[in-house]
Amino acid sequence: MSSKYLPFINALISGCLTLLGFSCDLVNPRVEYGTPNAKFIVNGTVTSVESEETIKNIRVIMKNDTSFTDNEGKYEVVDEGAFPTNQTYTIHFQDFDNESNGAFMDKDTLVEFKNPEFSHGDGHWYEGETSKEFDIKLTPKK
Amino acid sequence: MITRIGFRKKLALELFRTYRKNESKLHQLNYILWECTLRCNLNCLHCGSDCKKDVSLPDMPLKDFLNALDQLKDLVNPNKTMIVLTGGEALLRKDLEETGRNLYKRGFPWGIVTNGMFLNEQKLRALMQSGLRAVTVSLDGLETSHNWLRGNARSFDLAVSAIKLLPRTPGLKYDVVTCVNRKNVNELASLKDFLIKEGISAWRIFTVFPIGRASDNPDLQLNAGEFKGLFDFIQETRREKRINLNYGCEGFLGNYEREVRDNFFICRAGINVASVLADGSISACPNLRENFIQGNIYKDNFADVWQNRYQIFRDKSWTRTGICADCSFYKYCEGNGMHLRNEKTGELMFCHLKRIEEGNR
Repeated sequence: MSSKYLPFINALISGCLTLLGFSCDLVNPRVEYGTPNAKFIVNGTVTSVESEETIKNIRVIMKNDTSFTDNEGKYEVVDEGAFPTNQTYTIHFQDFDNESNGAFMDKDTLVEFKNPEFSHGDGHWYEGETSKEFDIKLTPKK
Repeated sequence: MITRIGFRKKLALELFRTYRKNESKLHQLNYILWECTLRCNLNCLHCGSDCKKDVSLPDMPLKDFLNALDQLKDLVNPNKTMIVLTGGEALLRKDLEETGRNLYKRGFPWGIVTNGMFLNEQKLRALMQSGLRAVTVSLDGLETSHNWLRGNARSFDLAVSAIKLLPRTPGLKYDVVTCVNRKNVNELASLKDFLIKEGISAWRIFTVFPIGRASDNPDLQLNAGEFKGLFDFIQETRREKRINLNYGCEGFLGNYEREVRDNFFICRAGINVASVLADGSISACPNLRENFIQGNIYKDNFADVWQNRYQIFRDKSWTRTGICADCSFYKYCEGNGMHLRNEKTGELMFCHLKRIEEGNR
């Protein structure tokens, strides 16, 4: 079996162990002292700088996560397992369907988390999640 | 009966076995220990390190360790890779803050293992400002037994001063670790109450194993009855839920599995864990030397070593010798922790399950 499926199988095993009453943190295995980690979420709305209308189907990339804006131009990208401290992300907005929703220029922008506060941590190494709303305007191609 | 395992737990152990195999195949490095100094300010009876009190022993230059880490940049996600500084006594390094800042800049969370002798409020603040996230402090019993094991009349007071700082420091992950031996085994209940009173929430216990200086001190090892009793104590403490107590990461424990620690037994040495020893040797855990050394940062590329060597950790079938050969629990244990195998012969030096069984009789 290809090793790319193994993390998925291990996540499944973790779930089965929980069902059996032996919950183990196997998805983010920690040895001895553990690894602090947190989830960083960026969400917002993509609109046209000219018409101010929302734009659907824009590809949004942050680190290893990719998502697409929905019919209301909303998106959410996530960095799981980041170091729970100040973080700066480069977010790439890309119009990949060309003319079908109007054509827009790509845009790279920085989103900064300064002194982030985390919620829903597990009391151990996972410190929880933090989110930032970030709306962006894209310029139509001429 | 320690070897009588119920259906539900057996099923869980079978699943965990598959998980362990997958982890060996994935071989994802996520934990690196650096033996950053061999110098030590104590001379502990049980020490498994080659550490010396001699202050003239040179430490590995920081840049050499950082060069080795930088070789891993295509192999690991720094945010998911913990660097733990150990020794000797890590706090004896003069450039610890600079070390921390360099690790932090690269995105690595980092921690230290310390005897607490030099960990005061000012030092902890400086380390936190350099990105420190995790501390383990050793406390090996109440005053008399701790000072006996550590060979220093002030070591208990200083360790306790350090421990008191831990729960008061926001953002710091910590645990207190206790080496259980014949001197302190009967005071564990008092030690538990003491730690709870000091606000400690995480406690880890390990037992002396026959390496380092402890191999010359067989009296440090618990007798079979005490050994079995230790696991009853841990189990009972966990049920109380007043402090999160775990047994260390060694030994398949039969029916005590998952009752005395948060996970089932797995030795992650060479599977997820690598070490850089004081002389540049690349090993799996700092307790593994000689035949377990896989390379040296002064001769080899760390990433190449991790990807292309470590065969004895990835395939442990060679451990099925001696008392492991006909053990019906071998499939769940795979030869115990690698640090418990003789570095020259590969023979198992200590079987937890057998010792508990002896204590049952």
